[in-house]
Amino acid sequence: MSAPTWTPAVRRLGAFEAHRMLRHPAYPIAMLYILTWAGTLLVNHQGGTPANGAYMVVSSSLLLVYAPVTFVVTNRVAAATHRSRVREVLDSVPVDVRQRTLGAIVGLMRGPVVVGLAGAALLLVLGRFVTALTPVAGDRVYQRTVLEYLQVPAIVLGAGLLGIAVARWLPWPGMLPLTTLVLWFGTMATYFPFTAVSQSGGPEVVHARTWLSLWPVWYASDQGMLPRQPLGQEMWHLSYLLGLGTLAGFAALLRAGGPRRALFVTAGAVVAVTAAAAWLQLG
Amino acid sequence: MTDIRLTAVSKSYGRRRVLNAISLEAGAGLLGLLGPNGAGKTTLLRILATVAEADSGGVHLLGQDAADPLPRVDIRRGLGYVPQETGFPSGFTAFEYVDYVAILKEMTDRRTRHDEVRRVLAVMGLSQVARRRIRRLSGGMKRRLVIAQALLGNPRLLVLDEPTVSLDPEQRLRFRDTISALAEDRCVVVSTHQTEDVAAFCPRVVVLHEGQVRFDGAPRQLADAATGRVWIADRRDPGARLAWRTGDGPLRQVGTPPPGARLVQPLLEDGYLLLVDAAEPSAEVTNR
Repeated sequence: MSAPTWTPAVRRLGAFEAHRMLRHPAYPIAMLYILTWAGTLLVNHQGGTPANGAYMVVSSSLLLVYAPVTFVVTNRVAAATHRSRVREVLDSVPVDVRQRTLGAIVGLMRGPVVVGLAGAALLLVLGRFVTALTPVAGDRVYQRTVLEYLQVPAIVLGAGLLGIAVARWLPWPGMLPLTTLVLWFGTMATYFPFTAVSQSGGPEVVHARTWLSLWPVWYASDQGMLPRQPLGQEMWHLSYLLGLGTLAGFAALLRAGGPRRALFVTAGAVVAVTAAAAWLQLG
Repeated sequence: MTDIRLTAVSKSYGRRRVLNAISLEAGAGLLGLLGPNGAGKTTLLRILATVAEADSGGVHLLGQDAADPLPRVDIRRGLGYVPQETGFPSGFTAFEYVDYVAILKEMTDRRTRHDEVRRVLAVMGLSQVARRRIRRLSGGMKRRLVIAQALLGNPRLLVLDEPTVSLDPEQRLRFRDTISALAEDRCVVVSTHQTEDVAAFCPRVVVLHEGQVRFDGAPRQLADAATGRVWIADRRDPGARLAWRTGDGPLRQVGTPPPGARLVQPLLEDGYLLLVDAAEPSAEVTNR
């Protein structure tokens, strides 16, 4: 019999880890980049109307900057307390490595994911605001549903969980940039079929495979926006994203030792749901 | 009450047997652990700290079996551990590091925990640098920081692996004072290469060599084992196994004295040297 995984100490640890993540120096650097970019757009009068530009800045900052940086941040935070010489002290305390991994996951959800949720809410409001103030129909951004906007924090959650999983499974130097490259090229491979069609000047057609990695599609047209996902499919894409992220979380917990049967059973169910969601979103 | 009960504990790394059927009992008080490099001290302390598991034998700590997962968590609730070598998570201040360990020691109430963190930092003289990043602390301060985290929650069992490394003489004396006071009502195991530390504040010493207990008793008994075998002379005598020049001038020699030699009162280190040297006849330390 093993000790319970979820304890008040894990909850408290989650608050501590959230604080560590949000204070990580990668975020201010990313923010500086975003501000510089936004300033450039403003000075050069790019991005359509100011409201349209603001929408683009917020949405692309969340998806193209904040989510990848969250991957790096959670990886660094989870890895910092997992190195062998650091662990020598930590392995002699009541809260074990699985609970510490769970603490990092809770920290992710209490910190970076909350910011992602706030960003999604801001996008929702901004989207309405933009449409109302943009008289020329061609400049209007395409309105998205709540389920589509919720894909933003879902991607942040998935990126963060993947960062923690990489910290647990690949704790060696150089693994973080290598994993980043693999993710980058993997996304490009999914994205490529759509880009080819778009650059040909033909009608904007979304290749079926692109829906597996939908977020680049948001920025694939000249205005930075594409038509919404077909109605009824955004829920499946959200489920698919959440499923992928949850599987990364399971992977991190599986590496942390302790009883695994319940984890394997739950992970199996999540694999089934994620595969079904992936299939359904392809229509 | 017996806080430590080891029964025929063995541990191997690959083919190398590091601990060989060690049995040991200890209750409240200070126990000094001496031994040459590779004697198995750190492995023994890691087992006592529940960081490593024995291959065979029984390990009972604070009245519970350390091999069972649930009792092991209970043991850890009453344990403080200072490893021989420690790294620190990057970006932490001294306060944050101890606070982090305090959370892992299940101190969930924020105010109580912070009071406790401030207390242990004050005990180790680190209050002034509590908000300083760990990477900016000196080696001695980092060592005291590791000791500070071990004191969190007044543990019933303290396992300290070479805690005085990097400490300056004043800090070492302060450390002796702190640990001696703590050992009044709890079990403290201290491993060290500093025989003077053991002689100064440990009522009991265990000498470990090649994975076995070679001596278990009072420091005075270990020193007395060298009675009649320590002498001083101006030149190195043929019977000296070990000899070194003292600050006063003559050579202090340990071994088989010549007739009429000027015998002196042996120290703990003399007994220790003879004990270890007897096991390794080829070893010879000279400083003529």
